[in-house]
Amino acid sequence: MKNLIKIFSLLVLLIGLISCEEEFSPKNEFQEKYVLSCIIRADTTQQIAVVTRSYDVPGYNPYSNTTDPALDGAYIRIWYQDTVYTLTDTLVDRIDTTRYDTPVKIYKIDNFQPALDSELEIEALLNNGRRLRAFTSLPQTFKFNYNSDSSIPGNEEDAVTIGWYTASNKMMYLPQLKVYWYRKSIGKQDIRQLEIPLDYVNSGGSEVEYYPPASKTLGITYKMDVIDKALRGISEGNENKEDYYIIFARLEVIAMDENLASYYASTSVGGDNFSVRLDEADFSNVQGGYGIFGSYIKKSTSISLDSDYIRSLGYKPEL
Amino acid sequence: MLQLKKWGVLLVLLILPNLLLAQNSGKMRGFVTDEKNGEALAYGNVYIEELKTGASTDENGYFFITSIPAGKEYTVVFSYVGYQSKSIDVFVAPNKTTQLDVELSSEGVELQTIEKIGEKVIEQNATDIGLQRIAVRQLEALPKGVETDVFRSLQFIPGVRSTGDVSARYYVRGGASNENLVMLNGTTVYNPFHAMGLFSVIDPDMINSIEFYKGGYGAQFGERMSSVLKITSKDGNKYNFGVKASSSYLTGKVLLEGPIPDGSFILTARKSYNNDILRKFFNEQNAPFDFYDGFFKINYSNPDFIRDAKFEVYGFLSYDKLDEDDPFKESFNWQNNLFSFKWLQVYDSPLLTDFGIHVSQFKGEVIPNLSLVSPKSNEVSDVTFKGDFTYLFDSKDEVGVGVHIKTIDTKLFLLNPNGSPAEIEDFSSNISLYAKYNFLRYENFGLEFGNRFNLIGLTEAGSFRMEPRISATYMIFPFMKFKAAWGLYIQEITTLTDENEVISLFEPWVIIPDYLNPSVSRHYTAGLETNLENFTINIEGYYKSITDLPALNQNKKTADDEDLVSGNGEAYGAEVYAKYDFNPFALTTTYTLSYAYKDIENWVYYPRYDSRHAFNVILEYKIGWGWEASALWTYNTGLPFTPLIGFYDRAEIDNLHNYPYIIESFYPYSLLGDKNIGRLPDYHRLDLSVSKSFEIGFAKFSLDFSVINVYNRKNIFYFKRDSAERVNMLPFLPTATIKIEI
Repeated sequence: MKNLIKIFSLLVLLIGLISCEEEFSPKNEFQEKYVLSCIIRADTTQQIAVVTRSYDVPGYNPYSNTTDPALDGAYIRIWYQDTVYTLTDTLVDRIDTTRYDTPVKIYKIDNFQPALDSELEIEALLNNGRRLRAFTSLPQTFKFNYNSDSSIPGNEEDAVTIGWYTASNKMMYLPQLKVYWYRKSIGKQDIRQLEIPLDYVNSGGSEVEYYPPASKTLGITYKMDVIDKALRGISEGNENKEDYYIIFARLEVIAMDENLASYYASTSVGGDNFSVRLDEADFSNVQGGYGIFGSYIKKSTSISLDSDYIRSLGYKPEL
Repeated sequence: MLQLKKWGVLLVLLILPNLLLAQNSGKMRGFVTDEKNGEALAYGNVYIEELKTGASTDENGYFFITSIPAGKEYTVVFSYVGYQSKSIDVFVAPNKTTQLDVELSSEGVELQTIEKIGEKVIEQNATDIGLQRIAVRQLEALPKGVETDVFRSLQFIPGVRSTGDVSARYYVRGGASNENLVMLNGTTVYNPFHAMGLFSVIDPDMINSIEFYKGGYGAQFGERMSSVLKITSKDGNKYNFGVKASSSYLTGKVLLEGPIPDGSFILTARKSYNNDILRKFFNEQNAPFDFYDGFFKINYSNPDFIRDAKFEVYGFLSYDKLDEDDPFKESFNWQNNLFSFKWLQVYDSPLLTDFGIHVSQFKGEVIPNLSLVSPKSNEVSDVTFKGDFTYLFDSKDEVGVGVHIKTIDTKLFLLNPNGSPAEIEDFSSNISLYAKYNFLRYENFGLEFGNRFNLIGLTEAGSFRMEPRISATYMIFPFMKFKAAWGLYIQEITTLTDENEVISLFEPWVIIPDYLNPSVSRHYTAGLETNLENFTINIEGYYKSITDLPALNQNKKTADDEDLVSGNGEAYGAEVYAKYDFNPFALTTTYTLSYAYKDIENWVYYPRYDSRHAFNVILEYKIGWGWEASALWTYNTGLPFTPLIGFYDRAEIDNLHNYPYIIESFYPYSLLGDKNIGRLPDYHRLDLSVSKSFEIGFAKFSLDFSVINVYNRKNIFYFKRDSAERVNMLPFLPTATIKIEI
């Protein structure tokens, strides 16, 4: 019996000494892949594409890579209504140089504005002969509902609702309500914009803004008490409320096409806090590589702010 | 249909000669129960000394012996491990059935080793390959993670795997966890887990017996294609009222039981009260789970009402919720509600009938609050009628027939990643008939063959489908048996399980949609079982193929794309179980060699639970004076993972309102290699447990102290790529429980 206990104890000790932690690397041999990113704006004529390659770093922190992986010399074309448009190599000054300090390598075209609901094809032929291709369909037309609220406060005293409509059910919308204002003491040269949150919520004991996420919903409702609170925040700490002039509000809605919506959702609409996903969600419609070829359009509608309402906050309306 | 007729003719040919045999013999039947509380002693032995033959009791403690030469007196020995054997002299009259209800006492019997339950020393030719019977005492003897748990104990059985300390989900012989049928008193439990899979919802204190079929099971079981866990609850003390209370770091629980006129009742309740211990399971993350479960069962048996009948009504509910204070975090809740009515009837003839109506409901919901998590909900309502008939012939052959009628209503709501709502609602019915014949007339040979016929399937393609099954046992030597089984198993319901998640909170059940075929698995199993005086060794090999295996469509991009795609699976391996009893010690070792593959959309990969080698050693020591100790060492080769093959800069589009975003808005993203091609480091862990039972006055106390991961092995669970952090499984963790019984 004693011998058995001795043997067992020795075994435990041995196992404990030799095997508390084993080295592990989640990496396999690096493989070079190519990435094409091109998001068409249907409301401008300038379009941009970027081609990069994958990279590796000694550890696991990808930010330790400070060599810009962007590739130049690619031949990038877009097919649109039987016409081929070629994007040209361009270097642009980089604003944020914390990671890469060389100019940004992009491909651009300045005179290309495809129509809504049209089909596009892109192809990038890289220097090494690799070819990346993708297709997308631009978003369909969407219009704001004529019976939406056009002023703040809205028809219902406690909320402002703006809706829109479209024939497509595959688009995703990202709305943003902004209020433009300035201080008379500074002057109109410093017009500022305030994004109105959808709500204020208590998170970890402090109040934080909650902004509208992208969704398929064809409309948005802002509560008046939230708008009140946001607007009052403009002059927080300043007793001279009359120095603040409110000009107008604008609701901007971005409509993403199906591919861009999936790309957006693959990382934005995430899993829950407890489910642990090992293989990160990704979406790519680029054949032969990674990245995204999608499109979106931004539309906006002006919303007036009632003068009496502005005065009730202590501010002055810009008449 | 032609195939069905062939099976029918075969049955008739086998049954007819049996009917001719039943001349000038007597029969014996009865229930074997615990003298103290009247609980059924399942899988005990009834042995007629003069004839050197006998029978085993079933899960109700019931036995029936046929073909006893009549007109003589016999000595019948009733035995059950841990109980004093009892001999009764009985006269067997011709063409009569002698009733023998026997109570055995455990008083004065101190087990020198851990209880060895369910060894059919009588029926050596039983066709039970792949069957493991587990005693609750066995569960309690193992070191506890936090609580004694049925599912966690299954993971030490060869052929059963888990994917980590965090989950009690189990995977049997290369099958997914949704291919395991869990039944409580015959009712299907759809989500048998508390706290995200950490523990089983079934409190061990309410369990009388557990049967676990790893494969090759008979035609009486349908619904799932990998394994069957059949849990039978206690009936409650028929003679005295009793109260049990116990507490662990995590839960407090209470059990009430006692007699009622012509019956008994049992009531159990368990509630979590402290979540601190759960942090250890979730990488020190706050895990505000709140859960409870409750169970009641009432038994009624009144000969003045219906002779030889037993009625059972039971209900079970479990509820879990995860609710955080932060509105930017989602909430969860899920619950099981079970209700059942059963009528067990024995007759003067060797017929046993078991009728039951079983209702099982599962509801699960993810409430996003203000998080970006998409809302989801799932409801399953299952109403099943089961009618099972077992008839024993004088030749010892048995025939079993049954009809199972099921209706299932599933509702699933979820928001697809692109924001499209998906509402999948399905109501369907299944009528299955089964017949099986157990050829047991030779002492050294047993053969069971049967067929399950799905007259109406839950899916369109599931109707008029056969599930033939066959199992055989041949005793090569008195100490060695050869066993083999083959069977076809159909599954028509599945979970939408994301295989890329190592922990998954929401696994909704859906009936396999009509655009896919139901899954079909074929089991091939063979093995040798050797029983020497103090030494048992079982070796089994298996091969399992699965066709039409549903998998989540990882390429779903639009709302129009299907949620599921179909694939195939394959698993094979070998298992060894060895046990050596050398009082006061018992040493058990298990080893599994296994291979599992999935082929989804022409991509063959190892599923997340595939591990090449698994080895367990359990040493139990009955010290005496109420002290017991055990040690468990587990070793598994690493589980698969998808390796990192680099990074790329991904266009950031969170701020589309600010043009021109794309020029500089990129952030690094992991580039992954082939799915599950890498292997995590090997897993091993040593757990120790010491317990002491003692009495003070009229109260019995049981204290247990366990240490998990004694040498603090840092077993990797997964690697968080975003923070380059290695997340390990359970560290060194001491736990304690106290139980008081009045």
